[in-house]
Amino acid sequence: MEGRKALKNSVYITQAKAITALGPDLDGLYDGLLKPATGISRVNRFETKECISPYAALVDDLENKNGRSFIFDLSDRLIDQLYGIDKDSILITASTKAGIDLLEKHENSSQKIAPQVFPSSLPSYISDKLKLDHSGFNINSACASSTIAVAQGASLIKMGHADTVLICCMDIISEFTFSGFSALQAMSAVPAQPFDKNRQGLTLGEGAAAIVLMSQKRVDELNLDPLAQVCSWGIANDASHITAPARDGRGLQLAIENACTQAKILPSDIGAFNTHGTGTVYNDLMEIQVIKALFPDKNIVANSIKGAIGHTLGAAGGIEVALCVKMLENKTMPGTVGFTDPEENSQNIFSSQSQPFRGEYILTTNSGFGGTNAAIIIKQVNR
Amino acid sequence: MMDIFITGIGWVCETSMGYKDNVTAFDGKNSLPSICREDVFKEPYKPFGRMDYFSKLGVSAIVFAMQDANLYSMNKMDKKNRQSASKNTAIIASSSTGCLETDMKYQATINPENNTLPSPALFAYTLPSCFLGEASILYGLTGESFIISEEKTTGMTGLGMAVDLLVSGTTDMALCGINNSGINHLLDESDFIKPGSVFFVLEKQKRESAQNYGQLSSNSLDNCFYYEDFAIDSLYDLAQKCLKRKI
Repeated sequence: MEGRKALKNSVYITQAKAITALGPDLDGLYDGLLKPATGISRVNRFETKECISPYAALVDDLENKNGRSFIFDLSDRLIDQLYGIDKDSILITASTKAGIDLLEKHENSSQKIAPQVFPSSLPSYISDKLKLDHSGFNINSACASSTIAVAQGASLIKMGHADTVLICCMDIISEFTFSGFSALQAMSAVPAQPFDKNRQGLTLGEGAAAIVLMSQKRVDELNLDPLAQVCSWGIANDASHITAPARDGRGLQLAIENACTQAKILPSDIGAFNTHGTGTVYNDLMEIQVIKALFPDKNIVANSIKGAIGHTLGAAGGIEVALCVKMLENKTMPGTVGFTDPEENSQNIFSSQSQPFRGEYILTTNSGFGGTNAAIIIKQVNR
Repeated sequence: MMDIFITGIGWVCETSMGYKDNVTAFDGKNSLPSICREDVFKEPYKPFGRMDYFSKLGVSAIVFAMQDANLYSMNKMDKKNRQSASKNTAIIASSSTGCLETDMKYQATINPENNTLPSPALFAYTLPSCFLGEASILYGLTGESFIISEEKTTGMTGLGMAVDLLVSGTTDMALCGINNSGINHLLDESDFIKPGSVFFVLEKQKRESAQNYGQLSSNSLDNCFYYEDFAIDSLYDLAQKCLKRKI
């Protein structure tokens, strides 16, 4: 198709930002994880006594003044960290429920719904604030939303449709999502313990990340030193169950294999693996199956950050991509908070302590409801 | 220059549902029809009954599009005569409304005044992407799937992404469409939302047993899509043009 030929453009990460319960920026998150610290505490935003757990990982002092959703305070804080965003940037946001907390204020069926409830309000808001030429769009694919947003952003550059793509991903803790995960029995009564034998489920978190992707051409024009390269990606569906992962991890395995094929590397070339690691019984078992299948020599180090910052839903993938940039820069993978009694086949791969790793590739994956799985391989840039 | 073939179209709108006939209305003036299992599947299909309306709407349009493309039928008697879809099929759906109606129903279950328990069954469908998972399970599709939300969606952003997936060889086939529930009465400004669902089966190569609605092409200069030399501005526009040509 004319104008849509596959080009071999490289895709670079030139800015990586994050806001989590471990701090207002990416350095705070990485340093906190290295300590290791936890951002999980008792929820004081709403009543939790009817829920399985009182715990979540909340961003400090997030506000919802003047009838706004918490999501817009998070957006403002993220925008404040960005600099020099090109006007012609394509904006992709990733959020599963955006301003869903506003629905709690909806009193009766005759009252009109605030447009800020919809995820589409996020790209409009951010685009207006940054005075971008395009209004952008939101991608939703459950807990793999921002992983897929990064992949699609990289694809837009690779296909020659854009020179700069800004990905902004975020989700908040609301009574809506908190009660839902509790009702699904997916929540842990104690802070999440990914890949631990005694894990009970996930702990919810909130947070945001921004990733700026650029083409080689734009990097050269602006004379920038990129932080890392988005080397490849793979996305696949389990086609198995709506709320549970395929036991054999077939979708996740396919996503990783596709990413390796695109990068023209073998799984054994990957030095470290930032897993989804929610702390639910079946998610973590599924990921262990995939690690066994793809890394049979166990010559890889892996972690999950959800024992420290909770599961940030649609923001998880973007936060983890940002963190992978820091891990590659330091060649050190923070340990897994809550991992004390290893699940079978997870020992010597996961650790509660930071682990050094080899090579120039790091893998990050996320999986979600609807059977969605996404993998991204990030490559170090030699400066 | 590479062409993308449109081999199936299915829809549910205010006045009709199905495939092959002319789409009559996507205008938000009337309410959407209720959808029974018998309207979509000839044989019992249990998961359909537990889905929320937004999922039923999207899954139904996808089933009709797949039937139109002669790829799959839920009638077991027909199976031997039909080709199965490639497993590596992507589903890209655009939506302005998402599953707001389901969100509101779930929100009511957590309202303390209602004295009810939060419903896990409802909560599972408060992710608008869940119907993509339902369709993937139904046909065993392992390609990527996601929802694009834009304030005034025309479906063209999703169409561009679906075409890119085909052109780059990432997927063999793509289902691309729009799915909006009928919530216009809940919004102050809603003229731009067209309730209903329409999905297209897109393929890189012509398939003999498939419908042939014609080809899509794009222009690198104006970044527009063309259907048989006509510029298209939305997936609704594309559906109307394809079906008019077929008649």
